[in-house]
Amino acid sequence: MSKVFLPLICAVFFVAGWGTSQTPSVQIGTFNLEFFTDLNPATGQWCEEHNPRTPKVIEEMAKFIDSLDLEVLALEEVEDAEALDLLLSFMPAGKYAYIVSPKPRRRPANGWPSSTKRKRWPCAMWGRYP
Amino acid sequence: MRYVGEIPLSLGQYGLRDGLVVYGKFLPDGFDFTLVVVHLKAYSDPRSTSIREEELSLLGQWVQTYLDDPANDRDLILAGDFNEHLLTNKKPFLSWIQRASSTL
Repeated sequence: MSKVFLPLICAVFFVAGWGTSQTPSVQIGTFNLEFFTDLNPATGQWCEEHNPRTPKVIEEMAKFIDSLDLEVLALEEVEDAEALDLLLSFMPAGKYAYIVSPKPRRRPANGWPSSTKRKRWPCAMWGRYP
Repeated sequence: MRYVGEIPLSLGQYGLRDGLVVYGKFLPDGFDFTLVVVHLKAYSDPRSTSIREEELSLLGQWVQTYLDDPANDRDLILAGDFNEHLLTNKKPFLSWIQRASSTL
């Protein structure tokens, strides 16, 4: 079953660090993950068919991000919470938590695309939005 | 960290994205801050540029309103994908920020 892909904005944060630092600073990284999906075709088949990332690539991304020793990550273009769970599954357990922006609920001004277009248009559109 | 709300940077248009506002604090009595995460309209065609300028203007107004309220945390961080070279192309936005910062 296809589903519209509406990428989210997220804040991921380092859980353990919050109780220890008293310095008036915070290290923040921001990444546009470019169409980062949960690898589940049930939540966006078209997207997954055009997703070049493998679990191995995601694991390398996660290790790189974790190596940066940041306290907060501001992420763009994430499919859903499951995609974030996937990313965090390759990081030390319990080290990070996250806040995800609510899913957009608005209909397009001209209504939803037809059922045919609906399978393709949202993903294609978002895929071109770096 | 906790969710605070959103900034309507989508301008009511499907496909654009609202800004995410979160509050963070080092426990128990450490540094705290407000973080705004944005993902503004991409591309440099006239329509996209116009939309992005509108988003930046709205964001600047939001920043000023936020900082004008003494009840809000002074440490405000803007992060994300602006799809713009802010230092060179968006003086109106920077003026908003500078004006707002001068109130600190």
